[in-house]
Amino acid sequence: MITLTAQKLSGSQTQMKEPLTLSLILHTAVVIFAIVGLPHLKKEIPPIPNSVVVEIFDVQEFTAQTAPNDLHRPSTKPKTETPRKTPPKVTAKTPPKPSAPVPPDFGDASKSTAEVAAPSPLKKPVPKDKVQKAKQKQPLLTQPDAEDHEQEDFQSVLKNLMPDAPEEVQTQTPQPRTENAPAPFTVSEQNALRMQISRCWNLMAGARYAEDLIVDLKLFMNPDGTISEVHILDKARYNSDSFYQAAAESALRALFNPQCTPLDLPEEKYELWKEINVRFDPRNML
Amino acid sequence: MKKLILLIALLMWPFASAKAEVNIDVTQGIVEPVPIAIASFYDSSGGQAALGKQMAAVISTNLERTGLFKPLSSRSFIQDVKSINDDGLRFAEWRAIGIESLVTGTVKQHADGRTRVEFRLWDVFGERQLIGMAYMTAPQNWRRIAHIISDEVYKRLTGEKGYFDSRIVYIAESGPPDARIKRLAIMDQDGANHQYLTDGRALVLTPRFSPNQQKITYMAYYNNRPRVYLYDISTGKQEVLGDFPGMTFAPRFSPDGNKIAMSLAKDGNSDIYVMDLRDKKARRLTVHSSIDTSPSFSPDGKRIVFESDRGGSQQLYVMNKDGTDVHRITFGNGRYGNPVWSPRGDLIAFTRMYKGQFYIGVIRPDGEGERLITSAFHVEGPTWSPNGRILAYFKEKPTGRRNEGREARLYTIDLTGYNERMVPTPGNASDPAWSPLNE
Repeated sequence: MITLTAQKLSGSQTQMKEPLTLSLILHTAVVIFAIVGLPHLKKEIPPIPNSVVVEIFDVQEFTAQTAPNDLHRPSTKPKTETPRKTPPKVTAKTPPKPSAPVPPDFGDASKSTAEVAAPSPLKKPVPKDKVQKAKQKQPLLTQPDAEDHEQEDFQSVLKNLMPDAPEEVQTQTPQPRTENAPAPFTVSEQNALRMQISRCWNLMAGARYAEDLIVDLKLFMNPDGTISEVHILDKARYNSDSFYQAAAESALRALFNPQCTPLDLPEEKYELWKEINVRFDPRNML
Repeated sequence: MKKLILLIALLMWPFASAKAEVNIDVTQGIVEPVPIAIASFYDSSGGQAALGKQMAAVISTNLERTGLFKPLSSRSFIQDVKSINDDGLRFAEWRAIGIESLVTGTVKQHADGRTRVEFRLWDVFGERQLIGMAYMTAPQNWRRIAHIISDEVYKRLTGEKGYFDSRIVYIAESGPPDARIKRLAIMDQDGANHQYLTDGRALVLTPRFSPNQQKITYMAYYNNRPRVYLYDISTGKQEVLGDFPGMTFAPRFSPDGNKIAMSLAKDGNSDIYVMDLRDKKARRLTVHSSIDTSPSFSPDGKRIVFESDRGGSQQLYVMNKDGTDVHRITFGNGRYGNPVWSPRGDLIAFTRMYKGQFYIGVIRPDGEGERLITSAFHVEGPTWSPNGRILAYFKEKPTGRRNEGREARLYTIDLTGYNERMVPTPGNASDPAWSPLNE
């Protein structure tokens, strides 16, 4: 019986070769589909663990770090625990009980505000004309020095008066990453978005090794162009490097700057830009 | 086979396109001071209201002087401090006036006479608290608390340590040029709490802070003999460092405070020595017929930068702490001097003289990236802020009809080369030395 079957198989080997290959390829395709396609279909937002939403902004944890006496937590920052030795004597003590532990909901500002102000209602609704008046006044408050800086046209944020050197520090323009956006999201649309974010990104110059402070963010967008969620991709560095933390927060401030909310994006192409990778790269400005 | 591959590709295409993302590289931004609001610190009882206002003013001035922040006048605020305390923050109102970061706080007098000061730093766009701390202190220490809070805010927003809770020692000058009186003076970094440490009978020069902040080393002429002295701020006592046969000058502490590097001139030649303050034994580091002087330790204490004319012109050199591996790091025209290693280690500040003009510059320890960030008729004596972000120095300009007089003032500048500010002093001032942060 065994021999017979073997012969049978042997006899039909040529005929079976193509269907076997077909079966193999189709099975492989199904497996690839299951790995790649199914999780995506199941979850629109990939489970990237680098969320800036909750734990970073946790007021309890944060204040506990800065004031170890609170909540009987073990000290993580001994400096804040010990009184300062030299006169005048200063003792860091337990901070006040946080009144506004607001998990940020970047997509709904009014909700967060209400939570901070709760339970008492807002006693002073903002008169619209007052807001506009304040907006108009703002430029008058600019310091003379700051105005001077704005007027200076510089390629680099680092000044150099070198008499026997080129006036401007020539830095190599970093090559933009290969854009894998589909064709329908046009180059001009990308440029417009880049320009809009550039106007909101206030770079703090002079940080140590500033050329290394490249921040990659992943944005999850709402159809109206507002950001529903942001992930800092290098969260480990965010938590360990204070310079990187400041750079990342500067990038976040750019994205939540009212001038960048909402982002200028073509509504009809939402499917294309519902996830945006933004890289903030300061090298060109150093 | 090709058909099959095409079929699979077609099958997978919808899933691939559904994963499409937009990638944006932002390589340009703006460099402007960050709009920040410092609300007066609130006292519900009203008794400490003036103090709360003064503290907010000091914090505001500190942050404004960095050039990195633009504190808005309280006249622009829509929400008042009472409302912040009673109702909580209304972020939309702060966003409406363009504020990115907000500092709020309270002051409260306790029954034992001490004052409790609390502050919080808020991210207005993100609607979250970034930091919150509280301090208990005697009310007269309010200014120092304001500096400490400024440091915390600065650190959280820039990633760097602050420098506001620190002091500057300098040479206060008075009298005509031919009979100049030079006294050692000390003040807070913003010019407050000014006091003189010496009476002016002896000429003092080149003061330098010890890392433990309680000691200053400097050069003084007593009985027409220049020597390096050590001054204890807490006791007011001073002592001469070693009894050398020649003249000692240009002293500077090691980062651990246990040693002093200085120059000793003897028989027309000067070399660099290091003295251990514990046993007062000195060790010679350079042996060269040229003039070697102005030593400054790297923050890890392993290397020393100094100036020397051994190559024909006065240039900067770096060597190991034991005097080995001497190599030149500057090669520009003119003369280089007064090198000072940054506390954060990445740069060395120096004075450069070129074509009759003085410059203050910075260069990386490997000799790369030299930048000259300020210049004047006479500008000298750079000293780093404790965080290595700001440089202080003095500028001198001629005065009088025939340029017979001199006016010298202290200035600070950001290491980017922008935001030069004068530090207020009662009179002429030179040779500043910035202390480490207070402990």
